[in-house]
Amino acid sequence: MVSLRTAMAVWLSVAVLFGVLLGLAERSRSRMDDPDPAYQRTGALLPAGLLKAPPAIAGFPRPGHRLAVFFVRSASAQILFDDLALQSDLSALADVVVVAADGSRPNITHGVQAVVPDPDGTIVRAYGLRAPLDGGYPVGYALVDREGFIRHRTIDPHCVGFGHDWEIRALLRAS
Amino acid sequence: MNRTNLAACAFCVLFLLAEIGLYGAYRHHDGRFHWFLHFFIGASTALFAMSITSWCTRRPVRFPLLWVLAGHLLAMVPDFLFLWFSIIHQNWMDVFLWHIGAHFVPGRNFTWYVIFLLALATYLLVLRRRTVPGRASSRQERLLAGDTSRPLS
Repeated sequence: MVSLRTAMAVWLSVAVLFGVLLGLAERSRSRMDDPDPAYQRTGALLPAGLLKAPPAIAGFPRPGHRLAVFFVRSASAQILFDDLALQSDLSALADVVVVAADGSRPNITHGVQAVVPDPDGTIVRAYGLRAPLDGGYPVGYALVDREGFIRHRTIDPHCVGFGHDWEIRALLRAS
Repeated sequence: MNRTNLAACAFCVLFLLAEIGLYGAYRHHDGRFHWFLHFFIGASTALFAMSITSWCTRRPVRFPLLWVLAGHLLAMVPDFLFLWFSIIHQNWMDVFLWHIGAHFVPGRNFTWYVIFLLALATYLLVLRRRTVPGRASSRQERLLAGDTSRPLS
């Protein structure tokens, strides 16, 4: 049998420990994250045939081709040499389009079908990305299937150049 | 230090190392929210199962931290499938302790934190009210309890 004092001590210790850890994790979230983490990188596809991709980017999506649209605040700082492999990998699976809020272009555009400016956020709103914690331009991506329907969209501040390409590839293959 | 304490320490260390490793892996993939979520659900399920088991057997479960770790691992199976086999999340994966639907509970991780604390309180209450000291019966349990006063066979 456990004494009341021991039971209370164990319960309180666990409550404080996990309360503090949870609070620290919440505090250290990026300001570019989704306010509701449940909607960020769900790892699941939206149902097929539900959301038609908007005609917000001239020429995309192309009929019969998948499309990966990356939304960034500035392309010049993010799409550097290290991202070349990511772009090349993805371009084998889908058309890759970069939408930059500030209208900048990547240093290297190999594997990128188009770079599109979006100074007023029209394109990102049309694709339905949620506003991040800091209220700025959402950094993330949307994936469109061969039939032209959006199958995945998420805020992901690290989608370019951080190694989430494996996740994007898996979602593209399944869409 | 007797064998009971040694075994308890070994399982504590194993549990802590495993959980720290899992937390590090989720953090690396920018998924701390998910580590907390699936830990709370897995641990809560384990604690409720431990409560029922202890209630029925009238003694504490053996290796309680392993129950918690097992619950956590079960809740994370779809993430392993994604990471290792590129199998994306699908609704049927709710069989793994509500892996998909649990993300969208109102209050998110705070709700699961409260449920986890309730589950822990339940188990501690069962230990306090229901279990009987010295009820260990099997050879191994008596050894773990450090009972060498009677012949083991």
